[in-house]
Amino acid sequence: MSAPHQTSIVLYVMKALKANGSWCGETHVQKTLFMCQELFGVRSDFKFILYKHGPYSFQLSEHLQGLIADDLIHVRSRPPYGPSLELSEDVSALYRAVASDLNLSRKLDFIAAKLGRKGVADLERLATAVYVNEKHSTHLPVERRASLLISLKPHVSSESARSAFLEVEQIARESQRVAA
Amino acid sequence: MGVMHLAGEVFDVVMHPNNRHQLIRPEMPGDHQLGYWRRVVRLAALCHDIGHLPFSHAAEHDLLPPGWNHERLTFDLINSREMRDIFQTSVPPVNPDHVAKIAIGPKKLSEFAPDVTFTVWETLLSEIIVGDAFGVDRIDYLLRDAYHAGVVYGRFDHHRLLQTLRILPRSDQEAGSSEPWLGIEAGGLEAAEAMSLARYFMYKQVYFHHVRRAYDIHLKDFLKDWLEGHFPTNTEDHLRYTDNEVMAALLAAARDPKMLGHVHAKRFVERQHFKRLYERNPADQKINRAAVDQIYDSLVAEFGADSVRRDSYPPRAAALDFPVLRADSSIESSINLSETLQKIPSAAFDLILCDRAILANATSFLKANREKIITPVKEVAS
Repeated sequence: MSAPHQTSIVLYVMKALKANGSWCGETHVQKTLFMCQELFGVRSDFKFILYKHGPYSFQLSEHLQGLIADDLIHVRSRPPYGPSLELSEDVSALYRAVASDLNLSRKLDFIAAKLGRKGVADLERLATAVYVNEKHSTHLPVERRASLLISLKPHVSSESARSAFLEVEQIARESQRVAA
Repeated sequence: MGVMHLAGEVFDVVMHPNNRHQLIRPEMPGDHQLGYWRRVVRLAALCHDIGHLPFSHAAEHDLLPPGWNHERLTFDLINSREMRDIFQTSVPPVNPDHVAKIAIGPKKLSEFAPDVTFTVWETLLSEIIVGDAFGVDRIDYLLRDAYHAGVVYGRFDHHRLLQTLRILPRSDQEAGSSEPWLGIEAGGLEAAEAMSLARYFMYKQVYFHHVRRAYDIHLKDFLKDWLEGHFPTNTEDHLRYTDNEVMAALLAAARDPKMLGHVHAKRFVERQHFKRLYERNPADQKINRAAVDQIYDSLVAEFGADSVRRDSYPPRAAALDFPVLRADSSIESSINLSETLQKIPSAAFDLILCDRAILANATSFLKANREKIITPVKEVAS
């Protein structure tokens, strides 16, 4: 996938997150793209590994730094939360290709709507639950999967881990209707 | 050895009982295990760059087979029979797998060992060595390179920085995650700012200097010819090549037109390096994200591939967002507390250089055609 197309997807995701009232930190962009990839098979060619707050792509992080360097997005301090990412003016032309691809944009919009207003703790447990489902199996009992999640992220409580899998299953069910 | 020394110092500071934040204590190993992990961190720091090729990074991307880099060579060396024996027979023994993971870190290890996962604890320890924000590898090379290059850009108060490092929950907000990260006490924020500035200036003024990059290119071109392929990747052959072998071959090739790589070696030795012609810039990027590609392609079409070279380094994650422990015990993002950190750009470049013989013509060509080359072609409606 070309870098300009990756840029289109990233900028569109940021626009969709903002439209859903998100403060749009890097974690929002990271987890939205990860979930789009896992639930819809949206190709962005960013490779995700388990790292900060769950699945994380160093390539995506570097891509975001490139967009900052080129003045296409900028970092805004928003105490008491972490920094948010803002689109610069006049970048809509750069994500027009994604916006006009309705099949792709409605998938990105759906995940952005689900994650946009979540805090980092929620994004972390949901994305890590998707990671555990993908690495192991959705057929394992929720309790077992919750233990696997906690082994990866010991600061997540048992209750939060269990509810993450239930919420992810609900999102996955709804995503099938969006994909259809 | 400098990295090993600093890694031990950081470990002692962040693990000191007075410095452990109560929210992350449950995620730490017991005190009886800390001695073991201290040894692992120091050994990992000592070994983390042993896989470097001659002249470190200069030749790495083009002179190793696809999928190889110095981290993978480091991984193989740490796992070689000789080194595993050393680790396992030391008293008390050290698990070489731990050393390899902590030395390389999750980012690079995932490139060639995607199934290896890191615990939160292992991730933290690898951050001490290779982390973007406070990795001691970076602290060590900035100070050392500045000293040897005779520039002051790389200097900062690393003693103050190290003494104020802490392992902190990422956030103390309800919606935030309490995942532990390497952060800092508020009193060390100025030292962290100074390090970030030092890093930015060292990259801009030393590592990314266009003349230095030109010599990397000529060295690479010479090595491609001299090696007739790639550097070997098996550990025994890899260890046969040092800077000395390469320097001797370079000087010999510069003197003898019949030797492989003569043209490139001569450029290197006689200081006839390529000159800077065009650099990626925000104004052209706003017109076309592929501006450098298109300018490079046009120059190659006009003047030939042998006379034009491209060298680039994309903006890397600046990782300036880390938790800061304030005097009132609250935890805040560094970005919210430091206008300096907000504003330090990522150092990056995308550079086109050319043979000095065509410099005047190529400059005129660009002046006349740059705008036309980078203006995107409008799609014609079908």
